[in-house]
Amino acid sequence: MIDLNAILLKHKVFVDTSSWMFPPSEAFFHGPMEQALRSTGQKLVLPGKVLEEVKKFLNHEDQEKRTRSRTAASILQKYIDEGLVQVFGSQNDPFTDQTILYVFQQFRVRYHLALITQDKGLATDVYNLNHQRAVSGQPIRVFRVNMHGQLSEWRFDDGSGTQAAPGAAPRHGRHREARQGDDAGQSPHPKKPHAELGVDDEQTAEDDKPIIRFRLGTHVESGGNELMSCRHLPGEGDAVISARYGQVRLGEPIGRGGEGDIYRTDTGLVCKIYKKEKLTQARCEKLKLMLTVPVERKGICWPRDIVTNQYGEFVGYLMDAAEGKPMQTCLFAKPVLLKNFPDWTRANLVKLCHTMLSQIEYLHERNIIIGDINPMNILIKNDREVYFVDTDSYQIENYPCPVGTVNFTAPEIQGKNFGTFLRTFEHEYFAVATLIFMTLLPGKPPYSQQGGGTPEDNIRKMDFPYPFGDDSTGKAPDGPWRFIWSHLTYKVKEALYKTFKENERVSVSELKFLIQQYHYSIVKQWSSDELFPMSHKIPEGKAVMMTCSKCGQEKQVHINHKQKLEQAGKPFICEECFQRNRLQRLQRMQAAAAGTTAAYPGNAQPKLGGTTQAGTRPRTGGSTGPTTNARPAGPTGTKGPWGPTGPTGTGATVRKPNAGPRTPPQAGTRPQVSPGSGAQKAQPARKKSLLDRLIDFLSNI
Amino acid sequence: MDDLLISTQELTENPTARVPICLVLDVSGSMTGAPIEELNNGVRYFMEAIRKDDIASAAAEMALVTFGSTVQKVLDFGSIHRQAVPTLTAGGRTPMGAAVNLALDMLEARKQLYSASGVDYYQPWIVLMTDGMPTDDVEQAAARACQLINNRKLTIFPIGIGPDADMEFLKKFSPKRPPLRLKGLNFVAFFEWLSKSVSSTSQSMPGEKVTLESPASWASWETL
Repeated sequence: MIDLNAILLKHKVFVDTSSWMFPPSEAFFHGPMEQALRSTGQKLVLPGKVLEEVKKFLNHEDQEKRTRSRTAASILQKYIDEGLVQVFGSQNDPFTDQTILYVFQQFRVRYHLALITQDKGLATDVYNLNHQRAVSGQPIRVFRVNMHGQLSEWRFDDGSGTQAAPGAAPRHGRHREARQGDDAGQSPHPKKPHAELGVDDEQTAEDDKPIIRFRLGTHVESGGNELMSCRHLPGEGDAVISARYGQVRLGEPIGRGGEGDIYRTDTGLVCKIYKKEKLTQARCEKLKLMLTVPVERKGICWPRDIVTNQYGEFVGYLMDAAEGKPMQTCLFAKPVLLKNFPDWTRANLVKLCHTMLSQIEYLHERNIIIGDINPMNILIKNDREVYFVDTDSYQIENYPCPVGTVNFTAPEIQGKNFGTFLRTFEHEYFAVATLIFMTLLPGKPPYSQQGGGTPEDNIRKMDFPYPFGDDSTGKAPDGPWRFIWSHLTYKVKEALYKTFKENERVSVSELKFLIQQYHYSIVKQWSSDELFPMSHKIPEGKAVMMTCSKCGQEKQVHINHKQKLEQAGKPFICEECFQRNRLQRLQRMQAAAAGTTAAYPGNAQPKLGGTTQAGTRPRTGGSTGPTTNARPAGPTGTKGPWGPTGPTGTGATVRKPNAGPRTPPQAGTRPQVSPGSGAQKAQPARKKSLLDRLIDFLSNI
Repeated sequence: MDDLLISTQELTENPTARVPICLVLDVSGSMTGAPIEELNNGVRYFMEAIRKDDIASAAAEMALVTFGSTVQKVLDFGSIHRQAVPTLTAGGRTPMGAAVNLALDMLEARKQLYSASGVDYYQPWIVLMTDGMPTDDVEQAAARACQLINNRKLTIFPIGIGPDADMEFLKKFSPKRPPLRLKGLNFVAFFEWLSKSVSSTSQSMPGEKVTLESPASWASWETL
């Protein structure tokens, strides 16, 4: 039996709209809750938005919603009249699920917080805040009102309800071990209220059903490589047989891959027909296994059925058609991104990340490991619709994913033969973080850097070049990438930094939450919405104006930078003048080296001087450096000013006048203001933020 | 040099990882007639194919050096959208060494610009084509090229045109890859292969294996 008094005395309790509107809760609010509030003298926190939502439903066309909202309204009115709630904020404050998450995230250190909601998704996300490793806070409790009008705690586990997910299973706090048909240990789920209020895209009916999942693999399935007989390989115009769909005619081919070809069919599905040399027993068995667990999610092109030729021989499988263009070719180059998605802003990119993470989370819940997270296999229609293809290569139980992509491969499995071992969720988290990084910095692999080695080397050495907190290697590629990085939220940077530099990998669920926060931050204009910001982000309160000694223009800089320049007695040069200087110097050197163009005499190699002045960067000469890549057509990292040995190797003072500010570690309360792209703007006086007001509010009740 | 300013702007505007390719082409007297005509067709095909490909046009950067009566920088590196298709004329001797030196210098300069702008680049390619033998000293250029190739900083495709092409000299420039002989005057087929290779590379990610198509359509293998 839950001790309501104890909870009220210890926690600030928020109640969201779904619980007010839940019919059985009427008895609860009129009964035990009211009593408990009176005897403890506490109040519930009522976001003003809830009142507005309930009021809206009073005029809803749906009769049931009207009835429920009338009941809810009368309870609320009573509570307000009798001082049992404290209303926070106005009806215009956007107290959505996002806000609740954000608020709980920010305040859990200082306060004991509790939430009453019927919404399982929200409950899960809020509950998962307890598992954040970066900051430990007071335990958050999450409750609902059950069918019997009693307060009941959301359970995410077989037993205790407070354990974090152990070892092998994906880390998202929701991991009932039940297999198909086995209901042991399942806690009763409340029936979803008919009215879905403030609901996220992902709340679907399927959330109520126990998740059927694959077993986790224990060893690699290595047998079954014998080729199966195939007297005829179907092609366009041929018919194939499916147990589920009957006779299916193959239409035009829409893709040719290394493993086989894909055809449209007369069923609306598409059909993959393997090449003869790929038709092995193991492949057939794997597909059959894949069919045993329902994976019905738009955007995941899972096998729907195996197909055979007219002789009954296995030749391929049917799956949903995908839409959109591969990430690799529509997103990973700036001109291409702008061409394909001309209206996009950064918010769209972040939303895209969220969509992909949701899909991946869905797969992980079912113990499906993608393995080769490859941007050629992710098709983008828009930021909400993403298609995952080539699912037959995913890792299922003991069937490994036999391929991989260097840039997405975790350090400990670099260079290994992918078909010989089973990947873990930890391996996957590395790949997922890489995918998100390469989306937020379109097309830029995380370990790519000036003067760097091959991607494989950099990954193995965990040589992540972007700065975080006090660590600044100064090796991050100049220009747009560094700027974008600086404009990410603190938490997103932290998660990526920890994953890529310190080998502490952020899980899919955690990352999804942080991405949600980032999106919110952009919506609230605390973070820049520019796809390619042209300058570093300067935190609020750290921006000062300086006059450029070359062009005389006033520019905004970080106060630390100003101090450094003043201490060293150096003049300030703005970014544009700095670039122009550098160009002119390059021009002079190249002109000197080139001589005349007519009869080309020879081999003068431009030597680079090591003069350092304010506004310059020292360079090392020539083309020495670490061996770059093993394959002829692969790229080299850019050779930067510091050469292979880093700043100390040159012996010259490394001066980075425009390296930009460091993002200071934050206590996590004050939202940031982006100054915009270098143009001088007077900062408008801002009214107190939602958070500030909430702090005041919470301190007073 | 406005070119440099424009280049830098281009690099800032488009930070896509670059695939730098330098064509070093023999336009000596012996190329007069059908050979130079076909070569022109091939170059045109190549440039148009790259332009049409979204990714390749964002990633590939082409330069063109010819050697005949002089060594000429016909096209310098830059966005393909800015470059006009050249018309090459034949005449003169075969100063291959000087041409390769020029190409190597141009590549160096370009790499510096990339570094200065924080733009990644794939390992550069040089396509070296000749129908005869060099009339200048190639030792130094060859040594430079080999050093880069052995350090995995460069790839050279040496290609002999016609029966008089001296494959021994071409071999000096490419310690790892044997020179190939063009089938007849099949320049277009060659440039088609080259544009596909550029496309594949520009679509790959740094460090990932890129499988190039077999050159069988345009080359005959030399057994050396």
